[in-house]
Amino acid sequence: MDFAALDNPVVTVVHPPSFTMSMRQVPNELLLEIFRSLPRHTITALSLTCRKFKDISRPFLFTHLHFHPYSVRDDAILLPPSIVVDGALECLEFWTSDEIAPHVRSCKITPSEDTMVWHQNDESKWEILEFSIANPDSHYTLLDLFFERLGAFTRLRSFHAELVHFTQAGLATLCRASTLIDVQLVGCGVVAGERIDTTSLQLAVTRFSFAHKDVASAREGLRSLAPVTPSRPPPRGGTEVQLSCLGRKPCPLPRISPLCVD
Amino acid sequence: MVLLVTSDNEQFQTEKDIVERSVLIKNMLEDVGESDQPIPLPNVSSSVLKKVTQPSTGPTEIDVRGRYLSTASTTVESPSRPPILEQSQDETRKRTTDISEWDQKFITVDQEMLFEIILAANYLDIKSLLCRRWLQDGSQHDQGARPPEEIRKLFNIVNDFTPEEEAQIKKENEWAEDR
Repeated sequence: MDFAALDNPVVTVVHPPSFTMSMRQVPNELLLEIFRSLPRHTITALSLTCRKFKDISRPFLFTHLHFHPYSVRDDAILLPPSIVVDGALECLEFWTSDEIAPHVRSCKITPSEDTMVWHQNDESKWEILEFSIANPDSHYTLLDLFFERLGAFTRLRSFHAELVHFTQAGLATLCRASTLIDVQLVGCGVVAGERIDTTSLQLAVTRFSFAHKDVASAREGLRSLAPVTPSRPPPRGGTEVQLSCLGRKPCPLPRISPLCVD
Repeated sequence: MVLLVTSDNEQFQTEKDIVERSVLIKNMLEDVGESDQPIPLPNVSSSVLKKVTQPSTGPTEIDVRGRYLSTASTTVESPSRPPILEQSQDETRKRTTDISEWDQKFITVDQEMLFEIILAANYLDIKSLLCRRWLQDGSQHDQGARPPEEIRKLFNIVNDFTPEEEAQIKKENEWAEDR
């Protein structure tokens, strides 16, 4: 009989009678397997118990980034006060760090619903800081920085944006994310006056979905984004393209010539 | 019947279909064929083996065995490696909620036994026994997670964070929430 396998077991644990075992002695591979089947809130709690569990929890907790670069109220864009911007920058810094960025599989970028924030000032008094309405000269600091850092997510598979107006630089970064397979744009377009010229860049994704509130804005949005939208099949098979309107009555979009999908 | 010998030299006569829950033993039996020779399990103590081979009764038995057998067939290639399953999130979710009554009864064991069972289950390659319930919240905690302090107490974990680190991780975890 050949019991060579037994001489070389994966787990070798000696159990002297007085030895109290600890969860920390369970090998990492085994813990990964156990974590895999736990609900998220349990993993979050486990991450706060000790370093070992924190490290194991990271790939489970940081797969999806949901980022709010600004707020929207009554169709107006509201920019957050600097205190919120600083917090969001710190958050973005963390997500795009070498430790976390490789775990990120999907990104969602949507406006938040906040229009103000409570802040404790230097005299420990609480005050309300209002978001300010954006004007044509406003800088979209968080949005710009998000696209600047997007390249850190080397395993990004899906990207979802709502009410985002792209710049040439932002679109170029998105097109360079070679692992992307699924892009969903809702109510998106291009920054007014921005010229999109990406002759060599295109979204090579297998699923592209584009939605807008009505036909007119959808047509305009698509036209402005047309240079990068998938118009030829990517190397591996075709692209599934979905176009839809979010109005009360769903209406079919007119065919738009630059977007002819094979 | 199969004869198993544990680390504390106790011998167990066990039904073949029960020990075959273990991919390791199943493969060994296949390799040696029909034989009366005892199978040594140097990493498993008698008390743990009793738990692992504990026969269950009633309809859950079929369910549990069915699952053991189906997992066995997918991991035959490398029985001695830790079973890391490649599976979709949906499947994971299904598995999480799909904990049989047998598993639930089974988990009412003390701490030390629990670790030994987890290790034995890994060694013997019995996937179903890598039971998530133990780390999970328990029925009284259905709505929220067990707090970290309680988990530490339960599993004998030493808090090796500084208060600053703990605050930082809390903050980072909040950033991970889908708001």
